[in-house]
Amino acid sequence: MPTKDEIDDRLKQLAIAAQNHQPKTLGRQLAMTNFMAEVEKYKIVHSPRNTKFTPEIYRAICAEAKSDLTLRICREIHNYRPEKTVSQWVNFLMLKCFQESTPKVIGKKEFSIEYCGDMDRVFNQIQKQQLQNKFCQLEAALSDIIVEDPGGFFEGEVMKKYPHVNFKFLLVKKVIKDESWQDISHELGVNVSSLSSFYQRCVEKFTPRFKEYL
Amino acid sequence: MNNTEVDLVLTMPIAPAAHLSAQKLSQQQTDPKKAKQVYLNALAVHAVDFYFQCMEIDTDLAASNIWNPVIQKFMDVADLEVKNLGNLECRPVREGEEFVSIPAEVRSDRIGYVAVEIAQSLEEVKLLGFVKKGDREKVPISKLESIENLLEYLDELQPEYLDELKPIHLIQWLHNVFDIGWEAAEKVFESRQKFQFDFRSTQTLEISDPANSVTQIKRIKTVELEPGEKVNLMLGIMPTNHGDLEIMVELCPAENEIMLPEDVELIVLDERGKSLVQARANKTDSLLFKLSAEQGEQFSVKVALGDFSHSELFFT
Repeated sequence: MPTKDEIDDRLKQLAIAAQNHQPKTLGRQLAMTNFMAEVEKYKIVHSPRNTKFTPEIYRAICAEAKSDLTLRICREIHNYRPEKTVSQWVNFLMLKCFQESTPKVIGKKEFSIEYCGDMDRVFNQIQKQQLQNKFCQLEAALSDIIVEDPGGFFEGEVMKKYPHVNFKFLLVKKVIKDESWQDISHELGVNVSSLSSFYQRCVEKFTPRFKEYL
Repeated sequence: MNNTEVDLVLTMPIAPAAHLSAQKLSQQQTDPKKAKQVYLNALAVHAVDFYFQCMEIDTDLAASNIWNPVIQKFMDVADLEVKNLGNLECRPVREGEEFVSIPAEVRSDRIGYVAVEIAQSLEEVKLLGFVKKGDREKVPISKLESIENLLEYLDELQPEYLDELKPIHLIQWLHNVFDIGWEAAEKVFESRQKFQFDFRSTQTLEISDPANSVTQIKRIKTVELEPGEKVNLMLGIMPTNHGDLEIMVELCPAENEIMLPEDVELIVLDERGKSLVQARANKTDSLLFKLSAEQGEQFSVKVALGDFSHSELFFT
């Protein structure tokens, strides 16, 4: 493990390397990517201490501030002065980002409910909300449309090379029965890439029609 | 270069706005499995877009299919348009997964596939690496190329002439404002009585009758490909009644030459640098393409001979 001085020196060199390239050049992009990776690796960014917010609000402010900080570091690397350590510079910026993010998070009504900081909790929340919402009925209508295919539009869309394959058949297999491309390919004797390209084109073609049911 | 332990994996924070967006998009799906997929796809696209913002690489997030509930319903898509280059697919990977999945429906027309590992905490992502071709359903994480290679790859894809060339605004030609080096076709005709440009295959761009009120502009630029090897590039434009522009691109022999150099190629490319039409001279005296463009479109014309090439960038 390198010493603090070695880390400071390494980060300083990387920052100077990035400053030596013009913005939007490959040299700058590579140097900044390396710089950000090292900043993250050595965990030199510290969030300001929480003195007055609930843990959820504090977490939200930190998330907002970290995101702003990352963008600011990249856009303002030319402002870094080698008399300071990189750690001093980024933490000075972090404090500013935290202060600027605070009113944004406090003022946002939607935010605290939406984000729980854990994937499974977020997905459970989404699922609960779905059970209560109107989409379930629409989903049933969409399935009906696929199966009934009024006007025969979906069935009429066939692969030129393989006339036994039509869009309706693929919709039923993919959307209603949730079958894999491999299984469908095996059943039809048509390779996966031909099937999926045809399916992709048809979905794009019929998107306006489907939109009526979603 | 494979993504061994020494390669760089970049960790980026996830902005709360990205969560909000992902959550709203996932709520448009009813199937819980699909909703999760949409959520993760949206986060992956936002994460790569954010990284590109940091790198000042231009993207068009609004053009992504993550916003289209129908496309998301029927396909597993997480695309991000990199301006002038094409669509990059951003594939989410859960923590601990050893493979990145590339669904069949996104295995064509992508310039590459970026693997984005989304932390269980949902606070950050890791840009694990990328592959250029999506020819397999599952790519082992250990086989990915590094993010640095992605930057180099995108830089290579960038058509150099789009950066270097001063774009030519064809609308200005209609107002008699011409770019340096582009001579009036008639002027060149005068000095070349014997080998006049042949408009036989065009209908809309026939040599204009001076009495005709329809504006037809034809300008010629002499292009030197190799020392002493010159060709004439002609561009003809005519506005149509629908507000579009009829465009003719023709490559002709230089003064005192009868034929085009045998290996010379004429290529018209779209705004992403993708070839629209391409032809080689062989033993002909001209190459001619007719195009139609709406206002605000961009295309470029490339004349190539061996290692030499010359490009012109046009806006309509």
